[in-house]
Amino acid sequence: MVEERLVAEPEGDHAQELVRRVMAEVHQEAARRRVEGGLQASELAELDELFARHAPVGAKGQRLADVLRHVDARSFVDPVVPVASKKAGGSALKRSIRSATQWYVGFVAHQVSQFAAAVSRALHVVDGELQAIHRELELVAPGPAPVLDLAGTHRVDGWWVAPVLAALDGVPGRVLHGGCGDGWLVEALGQRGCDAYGVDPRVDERTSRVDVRAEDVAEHLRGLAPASLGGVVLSGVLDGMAPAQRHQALEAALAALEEGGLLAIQAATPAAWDRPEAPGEVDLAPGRPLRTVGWEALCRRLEVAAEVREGPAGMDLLVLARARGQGAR
Amino acid sequence: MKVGFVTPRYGPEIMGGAESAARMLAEHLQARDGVEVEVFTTCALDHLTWKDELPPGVGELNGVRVRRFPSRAGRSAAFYGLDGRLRLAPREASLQEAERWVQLNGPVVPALVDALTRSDLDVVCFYPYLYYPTVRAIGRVPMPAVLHPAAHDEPALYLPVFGRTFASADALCYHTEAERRLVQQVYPETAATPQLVLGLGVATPPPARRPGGEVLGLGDRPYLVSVGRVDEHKGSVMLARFFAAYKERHPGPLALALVGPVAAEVPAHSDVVVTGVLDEQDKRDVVADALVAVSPSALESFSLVVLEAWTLGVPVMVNGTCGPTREHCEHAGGGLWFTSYEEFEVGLERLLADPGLRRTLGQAGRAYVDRHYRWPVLIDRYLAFLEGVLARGKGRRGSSERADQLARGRRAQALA
Repeated sequence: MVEERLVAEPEGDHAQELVRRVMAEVHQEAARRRVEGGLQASELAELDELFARHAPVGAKGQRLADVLRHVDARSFVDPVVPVASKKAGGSALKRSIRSATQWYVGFVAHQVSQFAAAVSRALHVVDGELQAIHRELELVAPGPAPVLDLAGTHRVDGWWVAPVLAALDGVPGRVLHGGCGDGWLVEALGQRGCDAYGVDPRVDERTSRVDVRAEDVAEHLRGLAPASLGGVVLSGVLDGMAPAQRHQALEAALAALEEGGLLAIQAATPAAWDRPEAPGEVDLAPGRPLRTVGWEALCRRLEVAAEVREGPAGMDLLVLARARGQGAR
Repeated sequence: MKVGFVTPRYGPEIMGGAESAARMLAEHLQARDGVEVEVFTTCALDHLTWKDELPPGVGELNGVRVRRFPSRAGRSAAFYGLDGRLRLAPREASLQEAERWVQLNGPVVPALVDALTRSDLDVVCFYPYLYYPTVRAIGRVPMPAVLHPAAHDEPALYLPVFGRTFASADALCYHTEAERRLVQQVYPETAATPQLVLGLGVATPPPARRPGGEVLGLGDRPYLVSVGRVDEHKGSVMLARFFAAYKERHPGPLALALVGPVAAEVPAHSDVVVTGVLDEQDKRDVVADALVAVSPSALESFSLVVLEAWTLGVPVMVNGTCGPTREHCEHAGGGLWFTSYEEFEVGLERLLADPGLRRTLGQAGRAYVDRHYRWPVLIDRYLAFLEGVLARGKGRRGSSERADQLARGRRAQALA
C-alpha cells in the first residue's frame, strides 16, 4: 500500500543510481585533490573566483563551506595592476604609473587582504560550529513523515471521499489535497467544478495532467499565504508526524483557509499501524497516529470545532472542521 | 481558443532562451485545430538597447500573427548605475526604486499594454517575468493571465516590484521543478496559484551529414562541445579557463568547441575552437560527435542545449549551481555536474576514460527526453492547462487588489 514513487522511470532508474554513485566518487576525489593541493593556490583562487562570479544569488542548497570557498578565493587583493593596453604607448604609461604607485597600492592591498582573510577565518569558525550544532540537531529533530495509505482508502470510492466532496461544495476558493498521490481527488474535484490542486513528495509532476506538485506537504502548508484557500484535504499526511510537526502543519492549514473554508483530514488509526502487514515506514516515522479522542483533544487545543468520524473497518478516520477566518482565531 | 503571447522580442533571429521558448510554444500551439495565437511584442532585436529594428504593425511568422509595437524608450544608460546599486541588496530596494529599474531596463511600450487590454484574447501568456510589458500589463488585462516566469536565481528576481507581478498571475507555467521551487521560495504567495511544470519540446534531430571533427577542422581529434551564446554570463569564459587548466594537467589531443554567437572574448588557446553561429545541420553534426556536451551556465531556466545533446545520445556536464540543468541530470541520469575546478577535472576524467559510462548516460538522457519533452505530449498538457485556466476565468488572484491583499497578509504574518 505504500507507494514508493507513483510514476516510476524504469529506464532512468539504473542511470540515476549510476550518476548518484559516480557523483559521490567525484565529490570525494575532488575534495581529496583540494586538500592535497594539486593546483597552485593562486591558480585555484583564480578558478574559484571565475566559477563564483556568476553563481546564483540564493544560498538555498549551498553549504556555507561552499560559499566560504568563494569568499576565500576573493580575499586576496592583487596589488600588481595589469598594464595591457590596446592604445599605442598605453602599456608603457600604465607600467610607469604602476611602478610609481606600487608601494602604496601594495600597502593598501596587503591590509585589505589581511582583513578579508581574518573575516574569512572567523566565518570558517562559525561554519565549524554550525556544523556541530547541525549534527546535534539531526539527533533530536524529527525527520519528514511519510505519506501513507494504510487503510487502502486513498481512492475515489474510499468511504471518506463522498462526505469530503459534499462538504467541499461551495467552499470559497481553491482546494489543496495534501498527499494527493497521482491526483485522483484533484481530478474528481475538477469534475465537480471545484478548483483544486495537489501536493505530494512522491509524484512526478511532469507526467501529470492535473495541477500536482512534488513537494513536502508540511513545507507547502508553511509557505501558503493567509486566507488563500477554500479547502484543505490532508490524507495520510499527518499520521506519522511528530506532535509538534502535526500541530504546526494544522495551524498552517487553518491559517491558509478563508473564513468558512473546510479542513478535512483522513488519517490512519493506531490499529492500522499495529497490523503486522504495516510497512517498515511506520516504525521509522517520527510520530504515531491519533485515536478519535486524540483528534478531538487536538482540535480543542487549536480552538476549532471539529467532527470526527471513524471508518467502517476501524482502520482510519475522518476529521472535518470549518475555519473561522483569521479574525476569529 | 484565442491565445495571446506577450514577449519583449520575437523572431527567428532572437537567441534568448525565454523568447525562443515563447516562439516555439506559440508556433506549436497555433498548429493545433481550434487554437489561434497572436503575439504582442516590440520591434527590437537587441535586448541591451531595445532599439526598434523591425517594422511596427501586424505580420505573420510561421502561421502566427505577430503585432509589433515601437518602444517609447529602450534601455537607459542610467539603468546600469541603478542596477549595479540594487543588485547588491535587491530585497532592500524600495518599491519606487524597483519600479524605476523596470522602467529604465525597458522596453517601454505603453501602446502594447493598451492594445493588449483592448484585445479579444481568451487568455494571455506572458514570457518572461522580467520586463516592462509583463510587469505593466499582467495586472491590467481583463482576460486570465498565465505567467511563464523563465526565472533563474538572479538579483532582479528579488526586487519588490515582481511580487505584484507574480501575485497578479492567474496561473503559472514553469520550465522545471527547480524553477518552481525557486519562485515559490522567493514569492510564497504563488504556492496556491494554479500552475504547471511544462518545459519545452525537443525536435527529432536531422540525420548526420558529415563528421563533427570535419566541421570544426579538428579531423579525428576527440572534443568537448558547449553550445550557446559565448558570453561571460553564460560561463563560457570560465569553461575555457577550466579547460585550459585541465589541458595543462592532461596533455593530449582533446579539444573544446564553443558553438554559438560570440558576445565575449575567450582567452586564446590552441585546443579551443570558437565557431560562431553554425547552421542547424552543422551544429547537430558537431554535437553528435562530441564526447561530452558541457553546459557551464549557472543561470538557465531550462536549457534546450542539454536536451538536444541527449537526443543525440551525448552525455552532459553541467554547472552544479544551476538548479534546472542539475535537475535534468539527476532525473534523467544523463550527466554529471561540477561546482569547482576539481569536480570538473575529476568528472571529465571519469567520462573520458569510460566509453560505457558515456553511452549509458547518453542513452538515459535520450530516454528522458522521449518521455517528457516531445512536442505533441507537451502541447496536449499545455492545452489542457490553458483550458483549465480559461474555465476558471479571471480569478480573484488576478486583480491587483487581491495581489496587494495577499502581500499585506504575508507582511502581517511575518510581523506576527
